[in-house]
This record gives sequence, structure tokens and C-alpha cells, in this order.
Amino acid sequence: MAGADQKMIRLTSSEGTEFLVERAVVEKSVLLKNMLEDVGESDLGTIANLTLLFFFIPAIPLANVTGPILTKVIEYCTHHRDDPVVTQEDDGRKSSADIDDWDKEFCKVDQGTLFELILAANYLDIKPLLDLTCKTVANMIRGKTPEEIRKTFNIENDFTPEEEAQVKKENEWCEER
Amino acid sequence: MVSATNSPVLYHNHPLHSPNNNQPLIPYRSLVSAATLPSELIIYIFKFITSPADLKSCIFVCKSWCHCGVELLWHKPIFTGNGSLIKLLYTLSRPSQTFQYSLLIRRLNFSFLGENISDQILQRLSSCERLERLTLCGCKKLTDNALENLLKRARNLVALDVADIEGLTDNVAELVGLWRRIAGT
Repeated sequence: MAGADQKMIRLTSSEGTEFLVERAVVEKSVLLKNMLEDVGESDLGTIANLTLLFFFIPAIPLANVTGPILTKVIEYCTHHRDDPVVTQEDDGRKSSADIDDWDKEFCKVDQGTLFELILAANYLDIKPLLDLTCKTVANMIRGKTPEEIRKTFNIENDFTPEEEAQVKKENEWCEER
Repeated sequence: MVSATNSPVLYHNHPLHSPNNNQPLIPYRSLVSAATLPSELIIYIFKFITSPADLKSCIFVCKSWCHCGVELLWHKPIFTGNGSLIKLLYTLSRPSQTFQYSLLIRRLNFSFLGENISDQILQRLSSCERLERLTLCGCKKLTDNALENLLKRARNLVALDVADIEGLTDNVAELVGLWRRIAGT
């Protein structure tokens, strides 16, 4: 729980809803971390100093993120606030199987929310959240036929029959399971 | 970004009220779907798909997914047998292709096909100009000629494994030295 002397940041979602978030949680976002880089601790308000917090320091507007999505993002960042930072070079085998229970539960949302989370994680530059949500989509694709994938994600087949036949022929070398 | 202001108005910074805010507003929730996701993110998702068969299904879904997926599918083709290699060569030889497939191939490993790889087969892969890694270990039937042709064009090659091929002479080694110098390594 946030102590009264925790440095707090105000974030505003696209529709103008305000969120009060601890600096350490906000900084899971590389975008916001970079924004806050030059801001000294003494420039930030705390619960104990509401005047500074609400009257002198403007909120950071997140024009690309709606309130419900920002709520989810903050939930994720709060849960993972103490995780070690993963380096960019850590390009090990990308596996979609190793999702822990909390994360799995976190991703049990409708598809629109899942894709909005992907956009938000990408915009805010929160790589672990981007990886988690993209892995979840990859898992939804696994084992499905093209038609089943279209149905799952409501995608229209815009190939002409000729184009589709040609692409199928060209990629026939790749063996079926 | 954060600076002192005397404005007590909480929603002072809301983009809708800010005249000089040029950030685009995100479309409403219902519009966000797999079909509207930017291709960079579709590709990012595809990178988590580990089975080539699943990736193959993805490229048949629609045109934009096809564009996103072919590069990954062809990056490092995996052949389960002679048959799939023959089919791939057939695609490369087609006069009109949906994509210029030969330029998508970056890695080839023929160590499992060994003696099935002939000069003729390698010859047909010489259009793979962007090849970066080539493993021919155990492809005993190969000779200088075919390999030279391929090496002359594959300027981005960084790794070549020709272990266990008795038919090769020092000429190939010389050629390897040549493109090493070109690459400045």
C-alpha cells in the first residue's frame, strides 16, 4: 500500500479520468519513466502534501489510453512493480507457454480489451505487458485452421480465390502437423 | 512534461480541451480488433508462434496477415524431407510470385538432408541473395561450382558450415576469404 510520503503521479486517461499512481508503479512504463527522468523527488507531491500534488503539478495526459484500459495497466504494473527489469538483449527462445497464474487470470478479458491492452502496452512501452498480451493472442491462434482464426478474431478473408490458391500453392512446402 | 502551474483545473490537460495537442485520439473500443492492429504488432504476435504450421495458417487468414507472416515463415525454412524442399524450389522457380520469396530466406540448414543435396539443388537456391547462414555439413555430393555461384551472390552471409564435404577445394575457401574482406570482418 502506498505510504503517505510516497511520491505520486497523476495520469489522465483519454476521456479525462484521473488516476493517482505511485511513481515506482508509473515507471514500469519506459515512456513515462523517460518523461519523469528530469523531475526531482522534491518536485513531486505525496499523499501527505496534497496541495503540491493537486494544485501545482499537472497530470500527465494519456490521450491514447481509455480509463478502463489504464485501470488494467495500473493493476498489472502494481502487481509487477518489484519484478527485475528485463534487458532488451534477452532474446531467448520466445515461448508462449510460460505464463504464470496471475498473468493468465489478468488476461481473461474480452478480445477488444486484450487488443487495447496490446496498443496501450506498446504506446506506454511496457515490454513485459506487451509480451504477455501478445503471447495470449498467439495461444489463441495455436492449432487453428485459417477459417477458425478468421472466426475467432472476426477477420474478413480479402483474398480473391485466385490469390488464395496461389499463396497456398507457394507455401505448400511448409509441412502440416 | 511535469511543470509547476497555478491552474487548479483538474482536466486542464485533457487533449480535447487542449488546442495545440496534435496527438491523435485512439479509436473507440469497439474498433480495436485483430483486423485493425498495426502490422508491427501483428508481427510481434507472430514472433510468439513457435510452430511453422500455425504460422502457415496465419498467412492464409487475410492479405495483411499474409504480408506480416511470410517473412517469418520463410526466414528459416525447415524441411521435414525431400518433398518439402522440392516444393520450395518449385515456388522459387515460378515466374510470377506473390512475394519475392527468394529474398526472404535468411537461414538454410541442410545437414539433415545430407546426400540428397546436389549441385543442381544448390544452384536453384542461388537467387537467395540475402542468405545469412548456410549449413551444408554432410552434404557430400556438393562440389565447388554450385557453392561458388551461391557465395558470389550471397553478400550478407555471416556463417557457412561445409564440414565433411570432400569434393570442395581451396577455391571455395578463397571465395570465403574474398567476401570476408568485402564485409570487412
